[in-house]
Amino acid sequence: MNKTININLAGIIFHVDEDAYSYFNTYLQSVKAQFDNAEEREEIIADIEARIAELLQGKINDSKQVITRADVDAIIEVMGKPEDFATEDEDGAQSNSKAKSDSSNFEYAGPKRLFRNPDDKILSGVSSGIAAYFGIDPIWVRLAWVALLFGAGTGFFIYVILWIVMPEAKTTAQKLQMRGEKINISNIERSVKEEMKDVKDRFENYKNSGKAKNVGEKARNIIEEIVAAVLSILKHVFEFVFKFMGIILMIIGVFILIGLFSLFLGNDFNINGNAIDYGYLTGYLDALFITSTQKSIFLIGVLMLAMAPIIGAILLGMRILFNYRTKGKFTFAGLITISVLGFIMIFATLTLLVKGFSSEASYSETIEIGGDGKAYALRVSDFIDDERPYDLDWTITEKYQLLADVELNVKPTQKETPYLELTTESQGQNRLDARQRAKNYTYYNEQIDTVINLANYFLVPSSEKYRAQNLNVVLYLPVGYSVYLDESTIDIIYDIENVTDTRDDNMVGHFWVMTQNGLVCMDCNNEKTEWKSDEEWKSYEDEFEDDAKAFENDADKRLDDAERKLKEAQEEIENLKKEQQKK
Amino acid sequence: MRKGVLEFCILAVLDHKDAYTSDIIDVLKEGKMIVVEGTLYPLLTRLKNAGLLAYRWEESKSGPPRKYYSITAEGKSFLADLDMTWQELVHAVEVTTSK
Repeated sequence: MNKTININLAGIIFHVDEDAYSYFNTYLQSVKAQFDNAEEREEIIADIEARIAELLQGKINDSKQVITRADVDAIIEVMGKPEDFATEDEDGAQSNSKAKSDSSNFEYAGPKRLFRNPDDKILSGVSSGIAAYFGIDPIWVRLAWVALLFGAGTGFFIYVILWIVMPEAKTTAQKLQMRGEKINISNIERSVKEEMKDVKDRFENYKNSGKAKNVGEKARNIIEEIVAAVLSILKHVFEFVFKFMGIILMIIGVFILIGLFSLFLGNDFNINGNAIDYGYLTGYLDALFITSTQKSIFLIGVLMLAMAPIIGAILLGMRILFNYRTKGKFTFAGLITISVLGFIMIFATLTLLVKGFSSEASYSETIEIGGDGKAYALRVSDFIDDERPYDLDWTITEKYQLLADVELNVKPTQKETPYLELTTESQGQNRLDARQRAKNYTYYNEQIDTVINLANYFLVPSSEKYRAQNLNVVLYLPVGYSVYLDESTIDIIYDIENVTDTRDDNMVGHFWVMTQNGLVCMDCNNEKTEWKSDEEWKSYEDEFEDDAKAFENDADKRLDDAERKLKEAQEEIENLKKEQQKK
Repeated sequence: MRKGVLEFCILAVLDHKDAYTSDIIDVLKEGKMIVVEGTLYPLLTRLKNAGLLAYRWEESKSGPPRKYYSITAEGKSFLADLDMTWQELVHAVEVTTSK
């Protein structure tokens, strides 16, 4: 946006750029200075102005209404430089030399110098000074600083050094030199006027302070000054906070954008050495989408959908920081279009993805449990030593996907010996697809004597797709067999049926025996039996065996008793029969 | 050398017909006498003030009214004088340079 100045040339009004105006005015002043005779000068200038008005009229039209510097240059091309107006008259030599000095003044362009610009500064004016030197918009210099700041902070040191080294442009001449502007009459006039005003202000201040003779008035002045100082500090603080918010907005935006791009490229994103491993994230997407094309389209879609708010944030930050405005309509429409496209891409790929979950199938296999004991213990063991990156229900590493959807149950069987049944379920595009995926797994388990160790997860290859696979582990027990549920199984046991309807968290830590009616707790009246070590477990088992023997002995006794009672009863019956025969 | 020659040319142009500044310029540019319009304005004003030229205002479609210059009777006799002086000068130069 440029300020325009209205000028009246030979009765016609023109809108002239501020910049072009001062240039044009200088030109006319220089031309005027060529003529000594006042009466003659008025007429000549009027003629020249009329002609310029006519020429300028040709430069404007409906779509271009403002006279620019280029137009003025074109006019000067036609009309000639100030010295071209000079004519040899009576006192030719003198007027010539004067004309030359004037015109050379008009032509004079000061050498450019690097100054800090105090009129357009955020911190110190270094950036706008550099921008003025190269004739570019300060925003590029500022963005370069921000970029350099991320380059190990080198930007910061360079900035501070420049701040120290570059002088501030204090006088008008220095400000003109900073831009390499032509030092012309009107600029100097402006500078003189500013200086005059400054001096006048100072003089006024001085006069005022001189008037303030009594102490009270002086004190009031001091208070006023303090209030003004506090206000100006507050204003600066507020401005700083506001600009800081702008910086934060921009930085966050840029980081998210970089992050999204590196996610898209599948690279690790590094912030000060804290690598966020996106490899895993893309691994998840790989495990979901059938083809890498679908994954890419999905990622691009996310990127595009996220673009609008992020770029919006960056632009807002830039606006706060640099007062930089974009052509609102275009930006807005563009961002909306990108978002909508991104949404469509996400929607399309997700629809395909959901289709991959449309059927379900299961696959079962059994594992025989050996040994001749009748009591077993179930325990959860971690078979993998690798440190898992995250404790999630679905973890992806380079080698495998680790799924935690495992359920353990205990059921009765008519068979002679106990066994484990593993059933996996999977979703898929169709039943065949789902069944293939259900088969593709590894489940760690082992039996050591009577202890059965189970994993609380199962593995599928990292190349396999994730289709909501889950695993059901069932221990089938014939009647008379018992099982100890270790505390560690609490994570995987799920709603095991038992005679007393005991809840899962009360089932662990106890012995359960399979009866005709179902599972019965053997030691639920006591405290929970804690799992200790294998040796302790062994001794516990021995103890249990002792108990069992005692129980058996007791049973023998009772049997003896019962037999004895039966004998007695039979004897009694015999006796009764004999008595009847006697009668 | 150019002193007086430009004035002579301007009067000569206006002797044919009345003209606007840019018309005069076109002729002078063609003859490479001058290149910029600026030179012309002071000359025209001075010739007019000397009574050799007169002007009238004419409305213009593209801008302010234009000043159309015409030669006066005095101007015509001055032009004749200048012409004679010029012929003499040309003759003198010819004689001098051909030897």
